[in-house]
Amino acid sequence: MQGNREPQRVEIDRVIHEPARLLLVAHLYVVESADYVFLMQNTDFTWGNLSSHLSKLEEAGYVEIVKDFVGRKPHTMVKLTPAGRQAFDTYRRQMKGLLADLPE
Amino acid sequence: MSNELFLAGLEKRAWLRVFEDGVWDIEIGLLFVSLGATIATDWGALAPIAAAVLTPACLGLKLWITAPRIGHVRFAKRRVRRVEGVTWLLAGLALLTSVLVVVAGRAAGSATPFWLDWVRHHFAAVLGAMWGGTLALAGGILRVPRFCAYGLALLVALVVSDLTGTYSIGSALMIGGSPMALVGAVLLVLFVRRHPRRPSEEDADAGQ
Repeated sequence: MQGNREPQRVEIDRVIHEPARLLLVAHLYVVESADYVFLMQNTDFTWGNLSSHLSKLEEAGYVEIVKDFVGRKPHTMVKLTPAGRQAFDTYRRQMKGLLADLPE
Repeated sequence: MSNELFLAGLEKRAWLRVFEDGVWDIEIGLLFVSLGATIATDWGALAPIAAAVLTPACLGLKLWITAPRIGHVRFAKRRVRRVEGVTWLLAGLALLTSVLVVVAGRAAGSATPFWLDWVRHHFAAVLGAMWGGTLALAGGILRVPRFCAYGLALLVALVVSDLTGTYSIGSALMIGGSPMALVGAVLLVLFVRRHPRRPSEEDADAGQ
């Protein structure tokens, strides 16, 4: 019989774990802020798709969406909040640990 | 380590995309060409007029062609510091060039130091080393390798002008600047083909 060690339960952040949102958060992590066009260009999401995922991230407190104007044109910049950065760091550590524990 | 590399790769790709449109290549190249034409034709107003036209034109290209295709991004402080470093470098270069032109332009006399005489006689090579070297250094700081190649091309054009006397400093600047502008134009065409215009926020709101 193997040892009595119980497998540790890892609480994966499901907000970030969703593949589309993971991609968004990764892109936002490496910059200060970015607009919708940049995010669409790098993820190939449609506008509606992008809006939907960013709304979920905003609800979780992970992104801040700042609406502004450039001339008369609306312009939205998105940035990760400190909570968002911390959540992503935690997620990365968890996934690293999870994958590192897997047998060869 | 692999996910750090992945993230670093994302950031680098976003950064290099800023230079993918070739707009800065066009501006720098045409500025050198106009400066060369100013020296060659002795029409002193040409370079300032060119600078006054080119800078807003290139900013306009960035605003109306580049941004609708790849968007706006504010990079982290680490990258911004590099751009600031290059700005200071260029400011220093402008100051040094001005000082050199004034000092070397003073009448030669028995009290003129040897190095000043040497600079006066090899002015093209000195300019090549300064401007070509600065452009190459800027390319290294910004991590855009083709700027290093441009710096080298400018250096070679000016040094050849100095050593052989085949053509003037003005012609050397035009020879050095033309490839930059041409490469920039080609990059711009490729950029427009590769990156379609994304729907704007207005388009998205109208579609809802």
